Amino acid sequence: MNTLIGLFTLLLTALVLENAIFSRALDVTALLVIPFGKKGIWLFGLILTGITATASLIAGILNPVMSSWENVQYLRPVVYIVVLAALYGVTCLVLNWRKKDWFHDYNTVLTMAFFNCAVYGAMALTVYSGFNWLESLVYGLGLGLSFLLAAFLLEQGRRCMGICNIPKAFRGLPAELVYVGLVSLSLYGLVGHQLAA
Amino acid sequence: MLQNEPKAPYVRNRDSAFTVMMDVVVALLPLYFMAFYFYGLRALMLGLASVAAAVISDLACVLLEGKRPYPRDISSVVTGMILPLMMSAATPYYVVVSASVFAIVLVKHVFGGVGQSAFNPAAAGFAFAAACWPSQVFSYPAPFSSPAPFGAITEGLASGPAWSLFQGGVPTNDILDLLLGKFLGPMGLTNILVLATCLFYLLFRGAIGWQAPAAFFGIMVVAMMLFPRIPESGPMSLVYESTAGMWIFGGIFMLNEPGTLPKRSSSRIAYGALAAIFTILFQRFGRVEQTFAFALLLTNVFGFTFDRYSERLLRRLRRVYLATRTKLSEKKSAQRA
Amino acid sequence: MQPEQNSVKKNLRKELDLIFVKNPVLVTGLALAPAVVGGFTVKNGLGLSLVFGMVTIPVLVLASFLGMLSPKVPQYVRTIAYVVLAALMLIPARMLASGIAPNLFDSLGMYFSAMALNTVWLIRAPLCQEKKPQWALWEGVCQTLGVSVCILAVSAVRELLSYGTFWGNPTFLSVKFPAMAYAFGGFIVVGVTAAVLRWGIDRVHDIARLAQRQQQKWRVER
Repeated sequence: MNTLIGLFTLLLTALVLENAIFSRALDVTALLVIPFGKKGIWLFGLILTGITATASLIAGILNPVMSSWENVQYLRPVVYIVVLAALYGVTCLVLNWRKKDWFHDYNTVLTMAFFNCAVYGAMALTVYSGFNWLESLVYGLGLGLSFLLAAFLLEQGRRCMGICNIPKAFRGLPAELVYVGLVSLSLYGLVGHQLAA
Repeated sequence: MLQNEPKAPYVRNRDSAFTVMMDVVVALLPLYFMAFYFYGLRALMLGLASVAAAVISDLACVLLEGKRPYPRDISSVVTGMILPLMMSAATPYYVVVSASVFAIVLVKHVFGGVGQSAFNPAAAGFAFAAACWPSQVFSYPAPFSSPAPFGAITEGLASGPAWSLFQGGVPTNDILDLLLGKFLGPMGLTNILVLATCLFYLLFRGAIGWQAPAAFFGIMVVAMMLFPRIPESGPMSLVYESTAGMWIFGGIFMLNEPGTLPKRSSSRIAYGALAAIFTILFQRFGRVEQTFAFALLLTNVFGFTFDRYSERLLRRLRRVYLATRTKLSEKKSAQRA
Repeated sequence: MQPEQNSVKKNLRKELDLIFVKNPVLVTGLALAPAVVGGFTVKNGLGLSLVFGMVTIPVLVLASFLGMLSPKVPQYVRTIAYVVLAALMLIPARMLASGIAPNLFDSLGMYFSAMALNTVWLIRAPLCQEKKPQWALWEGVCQTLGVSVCILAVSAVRELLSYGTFWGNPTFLSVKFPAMAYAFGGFIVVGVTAAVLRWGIDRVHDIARLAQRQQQKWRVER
């Protein structure tokens, strides 16, 4: 029971306090810039959630193995990224084999979802926080869901900014960055004095 | 044919943005009087500095955007007046000035100026100051200690009952002192009797609607009574929280800012309720002493959403209502036949 | 002038636009994460620019070489090759970075390695497959310059505001905004910098247009 409560707290922490966008600024580009279309951002978020969960689970399993290596801090990022690439290759092969049409349509979305800071961040943070494999899985899940939460909040913001008379220099990306910054400032009331590193 | 105050022909109300803002300024004046009574000249000087910074930066932004300045727009004065009231009377001048410049330039004018701001400028300015300089903003001089009007004040500062509530302890202040506002706290919002008068004045003048404050204060009071966060009885918890916290002041002056408030009554109620829920959550789990401004910023994100969904919901309800009415009337006519 | 030389000059100038007019971070919005969080001191900014260049230039060059392969090789195989190369380039980048400042890597944490998966090469590499290697190299250099300009500017502003220092040395600024080192400060500084850049580009365009009109007037008068 205690572990369950702990895992739930960890999920909430990853979702709100250590939000992928607002407190760690991972994968802002995919949220703000990449034109996924109307429903595309949700699909992207769902795929990203699956990938962060899987990748951080693998990282959580690999971490105890890697900790005994020499020069581990040099090799760890390389190993993570190579594992990610292998995962990507397997996924592409399977999709190309079973669901060719879907893969042809959503090839770019899949690539963008696999290779970004959020997935790498989910893997790297399992080491910094010293999670075991179950905690890593939950943390990765929470980080992916936090991207969806941020996408939801930003959608509200976009609707609001659509009727605002924003100055010409700020229209588009700069105003959205300031908007995300102010939401991040509001979440600062929960996070308190700590740097996201 | 240019009128001073352009109005659409279908607006028959004699209230304009100027009169509403003027009402808010008038309601803020007694708070400044209380601050002057407790802390002397420095309170007024802080207010003046903040208002001056806000007005000057507002003017600069308007000129930069290539618009013509509109002298009857005093919303920047309101923002500038609200900001220092939430801070300690010993706050350095640069804190107040940079908070109001942040509020006007980066929160108000980035999103298009008056009436179109996506976030409440005053709340964002206070949140910025609280994030940057928590020790200056949250350490208070004693009432009647008459801090020096100019220069930095470093001695005789302490934390107030809000800090002990934040730490989970019971404040040791006298109840009468708390109700009269004679305790270590923000410069202008310790006296809840004056604040209540301001609320009724604004409601009576029609400067603010009743919906959002009613929902907000209702939920807050019930939550404070039923779930106190300190080991005390419900009513005592309510007294402590309402006097030490910032939420009464915020619920009167910041929640009802017309730019960020939803436009429909039903969505205003939902908005006030959401603000209350966020405030309580931030109080319980937050790591900052006064969390109302942060919670309000998060609520502002949903301001426009409520308007959209309430319209859809009301349309759907109306459709259901009409359908049932026609069905009922058909049944009646069938029975009659 | 020969048409070939003309196209060379045009290509050179086109890629040079990446530094200001089409800045990859501030105008296009790629690789925002490290600029927003990582660059809160100038040293960090320099380290991030370094690792960006070390990763992006080889990947873009590799892309132009892989473009010569037969088109039967599926795109995802090439992407995997780019990813692996980017990951391997992290090791020399880190050795270089520890030469600049010993604790640079620790202060940047995961944002240093996350640079290997930046969006710039992820989006540009498929387009570089049609380019000749020398042009891919030139584009990589210009992308790096553009990202470095942005990250260095943003990190200098943030260091000045949050710590009142520049490259660790104290400056004349006495008022500090410590919160600018947090994530929200990064968002706001990057947003404002992007707006200022856009405003500046607009003004330059205005001036250029005015000058053109004036020239036409003079020609007519003559």
